[in-house]
Amino acid sequence: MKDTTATDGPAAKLFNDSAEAFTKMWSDFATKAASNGFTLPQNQSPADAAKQMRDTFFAAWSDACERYMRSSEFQQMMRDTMKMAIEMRQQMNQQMGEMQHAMQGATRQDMDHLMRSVENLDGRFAETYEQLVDCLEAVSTRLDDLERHDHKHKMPKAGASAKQKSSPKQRTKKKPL
Amino acid sequence: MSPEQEYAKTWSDLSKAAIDESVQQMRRFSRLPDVMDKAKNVRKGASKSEVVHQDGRVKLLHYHSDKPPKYRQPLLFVFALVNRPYILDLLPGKSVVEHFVKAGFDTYLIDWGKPTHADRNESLDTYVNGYIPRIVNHLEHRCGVDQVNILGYCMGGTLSSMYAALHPKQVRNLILLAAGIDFSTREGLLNIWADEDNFDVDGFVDAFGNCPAEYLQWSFLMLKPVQNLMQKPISFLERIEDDKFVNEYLTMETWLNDNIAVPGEIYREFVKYLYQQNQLTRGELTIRGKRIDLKQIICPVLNLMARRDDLVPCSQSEPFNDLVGSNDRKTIKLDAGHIGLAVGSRAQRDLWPEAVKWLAERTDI
Repeated sequence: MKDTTATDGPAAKLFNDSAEAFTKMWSDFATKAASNGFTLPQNQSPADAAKQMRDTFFAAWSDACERYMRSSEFQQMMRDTMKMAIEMRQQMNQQMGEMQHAMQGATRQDMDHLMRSVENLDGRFAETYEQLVDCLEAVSTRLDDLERHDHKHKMPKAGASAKQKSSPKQRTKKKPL
Repeated sequence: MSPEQEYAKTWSDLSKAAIDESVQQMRRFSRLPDVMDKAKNVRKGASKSEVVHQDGRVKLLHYHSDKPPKYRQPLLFVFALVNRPYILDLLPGKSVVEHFVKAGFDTYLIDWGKPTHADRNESLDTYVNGYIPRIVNHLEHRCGVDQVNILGYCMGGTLSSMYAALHPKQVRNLILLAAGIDFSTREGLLNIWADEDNFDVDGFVDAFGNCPAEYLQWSFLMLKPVQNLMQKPISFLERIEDDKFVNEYLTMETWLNDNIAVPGEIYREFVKYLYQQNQLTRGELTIRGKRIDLKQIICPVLNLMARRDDLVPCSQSEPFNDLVGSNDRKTIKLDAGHIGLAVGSRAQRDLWPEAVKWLAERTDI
């Protein structure tokens, strides 16, 4: 099935491999469709029989497609297409950026840079905030311990008034996220 | 009957069938302008809802009910970042939301909105430590509770599991619906296509910014090209005179084509850390320096999956129950596809009543 006239370069090899895989997919599909579906049942109306044939045809085609899309040839083709798309997009981004800069405008890259700076700032704020929350929780825990300690050593009368104060659970605020 | 007579009869039957089919086909084609008109006016979302909270482009929808909620802890739906969330409330009688609202749950849904290029740096951290916790906090204040029930669908399920692992005390019950957890499987085509050798996700995101909606749509279509591009339009044409079918078809197609871009950074992380490196299952995924340990999930877990799911195969969702620390775990598998799990008639009849019952048994009245 290989094209003997093609050159031996990598592009020609890829083309040959893909073509071979694709041809195999079609021949598998045709064999399956022919062997399974194209027999007309006796007690079926022509319309129903046609529908049955069509369903078999599609099922065989679908199976063949699935096998082809799992093949290494298809994956190689996908990789090459993706590489080409990324290169084209990068070139376009670069050209558009140069054009924008020439017109003294802000480019998408400039905006990305700005957004990253804002996000870094946001991250630093969040970290500091979390540290503060941790500190406050530590202070709150120590206060609770002190309060409990105090409560143990006080007279029952004083203990009753302490009960009226907020309980440690009530005072501890939920940790903000 | 002589062979000649038999031949003549067969020929006449075939000719009659061909003429009948042609006439029928013409009648069907004459319906197309009507259908085009209907397609313009498809309603998105069946149940009544209002926006009760907004965080940038992200909105929290609250579903209305005629009666006050029966259960204390509200239910929060976390949808995927691809497509729009109204698939969970597609049509009356085909709505997941409706099941829970009718059962007396105070039901909310996160609408992630449409990200623009300015959102390209939104990462897992933005969602798992940002949007979701802020929404949960809002719900806790609004409902006067300290826990919520979460139902995550697809990518939303993966995000929900990460949130539940980092904030286990906030989650009362966790329901995952076709959520990808273990990405080591090679059952689905997406897993193969997203392999490190096949897909340079860094180059892709650096060049494109967000992951384009059209790219995602084509990837999903190509999972079943013959069914999606050939069989579906043909069967639609054949049933074009059935108004109920046309209505459902148009609503579904509107949703399928209502694609949105995925913020670049989270797309990169999802493909790289989950699809390519399977870090979540291996307990290696860290978000803002904190490791996601699924064993930290101690709440009751209901894991729902579809046997014919070509997007998130069962083998990708099933390991979740063995990875969590919870003792109360349940798996339900339905003979459906990825979307059928939410809106299919079998799901409406068997799956959702059971899921509602499961949640009701584990929620305070």
